[in-house]
Parts: sequence; C-alpha cells; structure tokens
Amino acid sequence: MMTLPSRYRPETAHGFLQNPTDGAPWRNEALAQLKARGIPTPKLERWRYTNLSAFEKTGAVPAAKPALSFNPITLPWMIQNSRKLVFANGYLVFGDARLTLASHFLEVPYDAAPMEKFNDGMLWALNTAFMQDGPYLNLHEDATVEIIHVGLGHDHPQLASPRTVIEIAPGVNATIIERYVADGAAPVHTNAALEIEVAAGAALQHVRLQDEGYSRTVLTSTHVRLAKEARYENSFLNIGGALSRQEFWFELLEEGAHAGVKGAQLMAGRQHMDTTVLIEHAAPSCTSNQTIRNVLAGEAVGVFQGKVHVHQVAQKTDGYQLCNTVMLSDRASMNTKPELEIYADDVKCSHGTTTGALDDTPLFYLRSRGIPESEARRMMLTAFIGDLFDSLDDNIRAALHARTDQWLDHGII
Amino acid sequence: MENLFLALGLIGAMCCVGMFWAIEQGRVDGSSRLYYIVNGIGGFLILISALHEYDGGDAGTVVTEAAWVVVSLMGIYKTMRPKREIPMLEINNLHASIDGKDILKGITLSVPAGQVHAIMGPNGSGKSTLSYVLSGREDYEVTNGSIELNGKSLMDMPPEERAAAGMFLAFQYPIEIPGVQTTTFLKTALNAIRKTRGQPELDALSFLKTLKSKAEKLGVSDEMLKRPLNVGFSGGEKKRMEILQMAMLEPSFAVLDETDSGLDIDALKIVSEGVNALRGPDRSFLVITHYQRLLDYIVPDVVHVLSKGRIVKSGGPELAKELESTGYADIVDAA
Ligand SMILES: Nc1ncnc2c1ncn2[C@@H]1O[C@H](COP(=O)(O)OP(=O)(O)OP(=O)(O)O)[C@@H](O)[C@H]1O
Ligand SMILES: [Mg+2]
Repeated sequence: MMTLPSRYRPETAHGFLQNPTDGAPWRNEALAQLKARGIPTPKLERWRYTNLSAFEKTGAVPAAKPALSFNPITLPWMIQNSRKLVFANGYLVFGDARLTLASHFLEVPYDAAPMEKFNDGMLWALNTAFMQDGPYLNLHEDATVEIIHVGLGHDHPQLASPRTVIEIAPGVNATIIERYVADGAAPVHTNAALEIEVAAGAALQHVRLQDEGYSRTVLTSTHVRLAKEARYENSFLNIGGALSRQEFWFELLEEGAHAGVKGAQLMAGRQHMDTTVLIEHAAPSCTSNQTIRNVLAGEAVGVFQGKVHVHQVAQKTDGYQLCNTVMLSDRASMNTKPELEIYADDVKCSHGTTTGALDDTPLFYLRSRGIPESEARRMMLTAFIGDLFDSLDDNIRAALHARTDQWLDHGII
Repeated sequence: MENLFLALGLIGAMCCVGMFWAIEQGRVDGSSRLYYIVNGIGGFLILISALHEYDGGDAGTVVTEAAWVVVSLMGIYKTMRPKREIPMLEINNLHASIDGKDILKGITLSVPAGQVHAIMGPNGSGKSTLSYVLSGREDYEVTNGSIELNGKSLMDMPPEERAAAGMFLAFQYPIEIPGVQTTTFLKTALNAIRKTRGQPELDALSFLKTLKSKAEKLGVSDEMLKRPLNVGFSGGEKKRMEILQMAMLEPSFAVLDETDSGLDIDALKIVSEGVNALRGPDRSFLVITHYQRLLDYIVPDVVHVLSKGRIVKSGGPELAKELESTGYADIVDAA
C-alpha cells in the first residue's frame, strides 16, 4: 500500500502556515508565473463562462491584518464543541487550543501541478504568491473543525489569500466546516486555496457555506488527493458574492477511493456563480458523485462545468453526475457543461442535466389544495434543494436549511 | 257600506276556516305557499273588517289579526326561499380550450346542495378538462361561460382561492411531489385554507389527532404519511390519499375524477364509505367515472353523459346501468 507523501513537514501534528516577512523563493516563483500569464480570461477553455475582469478592475491589494472588533465566539458556529478557527482577511485571529496553536513556519513548496495540469492555474499561483496564514491540520483522531473566514474592513479593496492544508491520517473520520461570512460591506475579496489529502481508509466530510457579502469576489481552488478506500464528501451551499467561482480537482489515486461533491448555488440579482469540477479516476474501482442544484433568479448567471476523466488503469469506475437547474426568471442564464473522458473500457459513467422553470403540474396540485402560489413555489424549491444535505449531521443540516429558507424569504426579489 | 265590511270579514273568516279544514283533510301542506297565502288574505280581510268596527274598545281583535297577517307573510317568504336558493355549483355555457383547441363546448350544469352528480363519457370527451377548469388550472383558457360556487363566481379566482371557497379536486392522476412530506403538506394546506377563511390555525396536536383518525379509516398507514407526498405510492394508495386530503380539507364541493380506477375491490368499498361519510346537506359531489360499480356504492342523484365537450344526456341512476349494457354509441350518435 502506497502512502501519500506529505508535501509539508510530516513531523508536525498541527501548525499554521504563517505569512513570512521575507520574500520566500516560492512566492517569487509563483509571482513570476502569475506575471507571465496574468489572471485567467474567457479565452481559456475552462474559463469560457466566467470573466474575472471585474475582479481585476477592483485593484485589490494584499489584505492587512485587521483588529477584531467582536468576540469570535459570537460568530454563527454550527457545532457547539467543534474545534474553531477564525481567519480575518486571511489572517488567523482566533484558534482552538486543541489544534496546537504553536506557530510553525512551514517551507511551502510552490505547487506547480495545477498550472501544469490545466495551463490555467493562475489563481493557485496568486494564492501562493500572497498567501497569508492558513490552517495546517494534520488530523490523527476523529474531529470536527470549524473554520470561519471574515472580511473586515477598510474602504480600499483588499485581497485575502488563505491557504488551508488538511491531512487526514489513515482510518480517521473527520468533518471540516468551512464558512465564509459577510460582515459589513468592506470590499475584501477572497482567493482561497485548499490542499487536502485523505489517507487510506480515512473519511473527510467537507462542508462549505459561502455566504459572503453581495459585492465581493470569492474564488476557491480545492485540490483533493485520495488514497486507498479513502472517502471525501463535499457538501456546499453558495449564496453570496457578486462574482464567485469554486474549483474542485479530485484525484482518486488508489483503489476503492470515493470522492463526491453535492451542493446548491442560489443566486439572484446580478450574481455570477461558477462551480467547476474535475475528477480524475487514476485507479481501479473508485467511485465519484457530483450532484449540483442551481436556483437562478433575477439576472443571475450560473455556471457548472463537471468533468470526469477516467484513466486507462481505472477499470470498474463508477462515475455519476447530475446537474439540475431551476430558472425563476427568464433574464437569468445557466451554462452547463458536463464532460466525460474515458480511456478504460469497463466503466459505468452517467451524467444528466435539466434546466427549466418550476414544473407547472405539481405547482397546480399544491395550489388546488389551498396553498398560495408563493408558498407552493417555496415548498417546491425547498424540496429541490433539501435532500442534498440529508446525509449530514443534524446541526449542520439544520443550519444549511435555515440559510436556504432565509434566502427563499429574501433572495428571490 | 256596513254590509260590505261585514262580508269582507266573513270571506276572511271562511278563508281561514277553509284552510283549517283543508289541512285537516290533508289536502294542503302546512308549509305550502297556498296555505300561507289564503290564510294571510283571510287574516287581512278580517283585519280590515275589524278596523272598520274599531271604536277604541276592542284592540285585541285588531292586534290578533295583524299578528296573523305578519305570520302569513313570514310563511310565504319561507316557502318561497328554497326556490330562490342558489344551487351549490352552477356552470353556465362553459367553453374552454387548450393550446387553441376547443375541448369544452358549452356545458351547463347545476348541482344543488347535498346532491351527488355523476359524469360519464367516452375517453377524451373532456371530463378531466372540466375538472381542471373548475379548480382553476391556468393552462386552460375559458373562452365563454361562467362557474359559480355557493353564489360566488370562481372565474377570476386562482386555484388556492377556489380551494378556500370550498372547491376540491381528487385528481385522476395524483402528482408525486418529492421532498414534501405528506403530513407537512396536509398541515400547510389545511392551515392555508383556514387562514383564508379567517379561522385560526390548528395546533399541531389536534391536527395530528384528526389526521390519524381519518387516515386510519381510509387505510392510510403512518408510514405513508411520513413519506414524500405520493412518491412511490401505488395507484390505489394515491387514490386513497386523495380522499384523505378531501376528508381533511372538508370542501363544500368535491370533484372526484376517476377515483375508482386503480382501486381493488376492498379499497373501492373503503373509499366509497369515506365519500359517503362526507355526504350531507351542505356538501355536493361531481363523480367522474367509467364504471357503474362505483355508483352502486356512491349512489348519484343525477347522471350526465359528456361527449365531445357537451352534456348530451342526463338522467337518474338508472342511466348509468343502461350505459353499462348499451355503451355510449347510441347516445353519442343521437346527439
Ligand atoms: N395540452 C393539450 N393539448 C391538446 N389537447 C389536449 C391537451 N390536454 C388535453 N387535450 C385533449 O383534450 C381532450 C379531453 O381530454 P380529457 O383529459 O379532458 O378527457 P377525459 O374525458 O378525461 O378522458 P379519460 O376518460 O381518458 O380520462 C382529449 O382529446 C385530449 O387529447
Ligand atoms: Mg380523464
């Protein structure tokens, strides 16, 4: 059995990547890459539907560490006894003692892989060049960790660049809740990068609630590597941000691994939301699942690109992808691009997409029972999103449902 | 002159005595209009005669006769009222189309309170269309005519308001609603209707109690109530669920669109009993069916035959039996 080599200091139980004062060589390397290629433009294959020029025009500078004006305990935590971390503008401002808060300066090698892989990994380079603090969690025991990112503010646009590194030891069962919360209207944009490794037989449930302010740009790149019979499940709810893109890159490296991403993008007004997934089946008998639901109101623009790449060795692959979209307005638009690239012959892969208004017939059925139209629509939307989170812990599910309800109350104007 | 008033008084007295005799003989009904009118005229004549005689002494006679006149007037009003009473459902010259295709071509139908009317007719004749138009489905365009329920026009009401006004449709093909738990749905629907009617919301406990007892009578299990509405229910289970919804919402007018199809023999009995339990002077039904068998259990007052968007024949319960043996051909061709 192969174990994945840690790209960081394996002897460290936990630590934090600290924003070094020096110009570390890997920063310069990343910066050079970035300068050579610039920010991604729609000319690139995987950026056809998302244009970052509005983000570029903000002229955001690397964020400064803000002073906390509130008690982090008052933030909207989902789990009472979880291990809690708070990052403000990308800097660690509050951390649970159980996560061994000793600071470690970590030699972060510049991860060129995304760049080489897609020829479009500039956001990864951008994060590397300006990365601030970031949790480095090497979990050797079952745990629930909650991470809240807040953007606090000044009036000039800033860019937070948190880097999160998570390593789940063999056989460990962990839950990580990553939450981006809106706090005031400060123009703090985010370009986050997450590197996750799930060792043999380990399981990670990763929950993301992107609930940023409606004027912000929120970019996340998540790279997950999975060993033998490792499981990674992502459940996300995206609500905030003027312009947001979350990118997932899953590598199923050993037999029997599983990666799944399930989530909802709820958008209104002139929001733009993009979820782009690449799943690489690089070993036999691995499974993957993508279940994406979108609700678009107003003039929102939604994007879902999901690609399953089955390598020649990856016999007995089972890959499932489904993207359903409900359009509440005819001025909104959804771009869906499912892709299958299969080099093995014994595989089971399926994908499907549906896009349309809420179905008239069930709506009429509910209304014929006396339920007002707005309430009937709401029931149907709640149902449309609802079962995505069924497998989650009660508290987490309740929090996500509450946020969904709140959106349905106020979002669809 | 004196004699004239005496004669009027005598004629009045004869009217009253005559009516007394007639009622004793069983020739008139004590609540009939004739009885009240003749008695009233009699009382009125005696009153005139008594007023003429009136010298300030015998006030008693005058008051008695005046009271008789008032009682008669009230009686006349009472006997006239059923005639003026509005039928529960009144459909007048109803035309409806979908996607520019005319389906209903002038339906006139009136169902009095407390009655059950059956509608039979060949496939595609417009029975389900009629049921959808009654409950306000927006896909259909009503091009002419009117629908009134309890004297109120339904034409400009959306489906939910019609439901609150007392309309209910048991669907021919009940819809599966994934993600909406049956109990939650029933509670939302019931409370929405109560709210529109200005009634307070039902508390969770009394709602559950009512639901449990009604579900049990219809053979709907607790497990079904926990599942998403109609999802994965068998054809017969869906039909029972429709009747349970009806029992919970207590509409004043219910359209049952082929509720019998898909039911096994025992379920047919259970569902019919459920419907019969709801029959009463304040509730009417329109039962759409292809089979006489249902009408053995739910005996209709009137049977109508619908063909090509028109009612081509109406009759008593025997019409259904006749159709069972002869089929539609004769009637439809004759029309
Ligand atoms: N969307 C539609 N577009 C065109 N024609 C339609 C549409 N919906 C219904 N119809 C037509 O309307 C006619 C009446 O249909 P309806 O469902 O009311 O018949 P029905 O009497 O209930 O028949 P059944 O006994 O089979 O239930 C049929 O000819 C049907 O094809
Ligand atoms: Mg029909």
